[in-house]
Amino acid sequence: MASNGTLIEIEDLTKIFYTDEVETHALSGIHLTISRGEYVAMSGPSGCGKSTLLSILGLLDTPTGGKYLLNGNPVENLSFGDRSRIRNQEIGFIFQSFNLIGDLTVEENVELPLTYRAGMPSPERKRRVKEALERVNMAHRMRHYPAQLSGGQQQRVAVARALAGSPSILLADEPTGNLDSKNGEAVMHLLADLHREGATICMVTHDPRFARHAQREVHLFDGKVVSETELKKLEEEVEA
Amino acid sequence: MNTLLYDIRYAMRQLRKSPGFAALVVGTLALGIAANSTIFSWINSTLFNPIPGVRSTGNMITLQRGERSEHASPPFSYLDYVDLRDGSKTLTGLLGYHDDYVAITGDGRPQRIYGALTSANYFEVLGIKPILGRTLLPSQANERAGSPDVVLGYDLWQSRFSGDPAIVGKTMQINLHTYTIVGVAPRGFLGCKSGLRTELWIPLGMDRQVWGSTRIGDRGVSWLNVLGVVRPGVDHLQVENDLNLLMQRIADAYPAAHQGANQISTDPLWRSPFGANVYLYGTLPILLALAAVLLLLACANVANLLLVRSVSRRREYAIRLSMGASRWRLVRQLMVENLLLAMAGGGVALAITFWTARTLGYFLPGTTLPLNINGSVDGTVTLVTILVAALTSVLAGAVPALRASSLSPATVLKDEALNTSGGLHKSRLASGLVVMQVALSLTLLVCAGLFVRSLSKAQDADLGFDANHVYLASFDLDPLGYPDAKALELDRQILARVKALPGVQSATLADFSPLSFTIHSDGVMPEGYIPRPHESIEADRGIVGPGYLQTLRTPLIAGRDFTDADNESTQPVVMVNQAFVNRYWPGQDAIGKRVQIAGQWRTVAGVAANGKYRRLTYDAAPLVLVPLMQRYEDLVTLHVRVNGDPMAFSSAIDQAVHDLSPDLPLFNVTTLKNNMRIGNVFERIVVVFAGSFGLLALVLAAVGIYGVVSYSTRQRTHEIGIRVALGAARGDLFRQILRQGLRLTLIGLTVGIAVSLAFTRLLRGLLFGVGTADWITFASVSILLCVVALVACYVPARRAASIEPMQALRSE
Repeated sequence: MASNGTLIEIEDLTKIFYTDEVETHALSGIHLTISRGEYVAMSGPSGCGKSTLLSILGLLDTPTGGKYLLNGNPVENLSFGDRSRIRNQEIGFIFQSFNLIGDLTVEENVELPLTYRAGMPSPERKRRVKEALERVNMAHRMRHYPAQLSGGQQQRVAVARALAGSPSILLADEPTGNLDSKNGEAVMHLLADLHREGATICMVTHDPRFARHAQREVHLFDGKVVSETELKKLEEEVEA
Repeated sequence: MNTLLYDIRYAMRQLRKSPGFAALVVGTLALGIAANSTIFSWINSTLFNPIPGVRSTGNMITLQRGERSEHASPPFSYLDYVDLRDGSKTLTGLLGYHDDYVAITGDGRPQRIYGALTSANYFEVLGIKPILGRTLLPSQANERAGSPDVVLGYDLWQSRFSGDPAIVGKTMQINLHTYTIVGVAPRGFLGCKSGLRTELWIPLGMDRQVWGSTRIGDRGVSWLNVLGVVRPGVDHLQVENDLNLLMQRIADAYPAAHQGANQISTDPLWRSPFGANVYLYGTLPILLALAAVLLLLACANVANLLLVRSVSRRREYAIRLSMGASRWRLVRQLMVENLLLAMAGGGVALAITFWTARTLGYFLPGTTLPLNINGSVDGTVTLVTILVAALTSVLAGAVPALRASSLSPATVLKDEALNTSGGLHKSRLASGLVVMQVALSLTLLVCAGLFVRSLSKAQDADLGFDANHVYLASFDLDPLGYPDAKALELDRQILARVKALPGVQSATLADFSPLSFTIHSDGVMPEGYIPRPHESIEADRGIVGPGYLQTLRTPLIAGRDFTDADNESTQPVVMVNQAFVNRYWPGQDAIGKRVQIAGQWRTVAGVAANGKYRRLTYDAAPLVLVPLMQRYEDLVTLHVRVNGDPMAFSSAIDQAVHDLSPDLPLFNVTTLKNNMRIGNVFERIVVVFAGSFGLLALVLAAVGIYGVVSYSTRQRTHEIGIRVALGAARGDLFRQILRQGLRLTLIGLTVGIAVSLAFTRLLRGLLFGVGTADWITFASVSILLCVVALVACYVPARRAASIEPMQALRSE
């Protein structure tokens, strides 16, 4: 059972992809705990399973085996509907490619997750949207469409969207991957500010400079969590 | 030229690469084009070519005298015709004719066909040259005396005389008189009354011999139809002024023979009240308009398909543009592809039209009328089909081609920015096309619905008689050569024999049967009635036997039905209907009043309830019924009311008649209900075709909605993934896609209702008992379209709702 401070607890998590007759073990026995208010960075080489793990953490995908407790509740075998509800209420996503909807304004994009939350009145939604946009300094662009914004601005809107629902955790998948270094740094500072204000963040990145913003770094290699020392050794073996 | 050939080759290669797409586009366009080419083939064969075999009829007119009517009776006496022909300065020729049945007797089996007595200049005015011998002599010197000459129609020459090349100079028997065959008319020429087949022509002067009439010398008897050729440079108004001046002089000179209205009006042949065009000219253009709407709908569907296809070929277009192709060059290449598709659609449509053009004739039930109404594919129809196909390539293809050519190659080749999903304007055009499809479908369905309800109302309307359990059989005593008295005696005996058959309730004879275009009209003079200026004193007229009202179960309002006592030796009587009384003697007791008809005063013996005798959709018109036993008519129809199925009595009635007259053939043996089908033939044609167009429209709209919603759902897979990631449940996604389809449908319905309200005003004259804004039709059709739209959206909505979020997020 997770302690009161534990938000996520996973044990012996596996994920196997089956394509034709090939079995790909994307995750092989992952153990991981994330506490409330923690800022965790997950890093590792391409194909190590970072994004797969993040998808499972975000309930976008289901594990093949193992346990996953979110807020102390098992969530690995939930129905699509239950996963949608928990995702909507507990998880905020920040994607590498922003994933804003081009037909919606900035305001509508940020409001979108709230519209899926049954019973939230419109004034409440508007208030939250305004606050989230003010938090990322994008309130002045409420009526704009994503195509009218720079990449950095779009990512800030994406962060605002993730914040609007007051989730338990922010999951960020390479949030600086499509940004130049200046905008990338700005987003990292924003995440750091959010963490200081109490947000729990789990970020996938392959850039050590950004990983250093987190309190703790989790290294993945071939679908397993390894220590930094082990990772270096394994990488040297691969290079050799 | 080389580049054009390259475009054609490339276009063919592209279409071969996507046979399913090509087949769908060709099929859709073929349906739309075939609907138009079919209706056009009918218009071409009837309204544009009212006289088969005569090339140019644009300068020809028919003349009507008195109040205008859709079912005008022959308007002129021979003597008036001659005065008009000789006195007119605005016509280069004026022909006169009278058509009716004749019997060919003598060698071979007796044959009853439609023939015409014609003026001497008949063939000359029409410009018809015989293929053998000569036509009737154009000399007018002996026109009134006549000569026993006959010109055969091509089909009669072939069927009865086996196409004998030496037929000229031989003789034949017409109504028991010998005529010399002087010529054979060219193939295809069937007389000058649209929609009717005339098979032989004899001089006007032979009227006395053929039909035993002396009317050729009587200025008071109108029996000739006339057709004139307008002098070049003269307009329609000048012709009418010229003829009315002459007619006024004639009426002034012979006032006794010209009571009532004498105003002459003219009509071009496409809407002439003499023949079938009077019924077709109001119907076929409406059908063509509906077909045009269907074609627009097909074009919108194809435009959507082309838009979808152009998205998958964006990279190809971008490469071409980046290689230096101009926008115009790219548009040309795409338009060549569209033209190939449209021409293939046109080709298929033409093949379909070869069959569908002839379907007009299928609607005509067996009848005694010598009808010749049908369509065919000729050079004009082929040319129009090709032009329509070319037009569809522009209508369906221009916008997608222009849109495809306006993309930015740099953006496309960079694979576009991946940071947003969907685009503000991406599907606006496709959505607009769907709105248009729904609106056009609604218009077609509303029209079809109105026609269906109109026909249904007409069929449910009070006919004024009971059409059930009535057996009909026609016979013609004229070929037997009986004198009138003997013929009447045979009529009496036939009625007595038939009435005595077990299961027969009653029987009568009539020279018409209701709702089969066989009732006549006659000039009448109701006692004490003073006609208004230009008022036509004309009424529907039937010659009927004893017990007519009883047999037809027409309610008797006052007086009595005809009996056996109403014969040649008793007081001449008539029955009139309520409409006659209301018009000529409003508020008065009609019984005992007198009506002059065919020059004889008759006393009203009975007043019948109103009935429908010409068309289901007509209001009741004044009717006069004359006793057969007082005014003999050789061609009559036996009406027998029976218990049970009328056709079960066929052999018994046939036997009863042939026991009395073994050589008397019965023809048009049918039931009254079946015979009445011709009375609503034009309404049924409209219902069948408007209904078919409506159903096609519904299918096209469903395919259009499905296509656009399905396509936009696929395009939005990534967006759906984002929504799922943000917590959208399957139900949210399902409802969202349904909402999208329904939104487009509702906008389309709003536009469609506005368009329909305007369009259906054109149908006012064709509807019976139902308004052009009939809310039941509008509501039913709207609900039907909504249901169809929901069904069309269901599959893409289900697909969207079952998308796996990770797959969706990975898709771009």
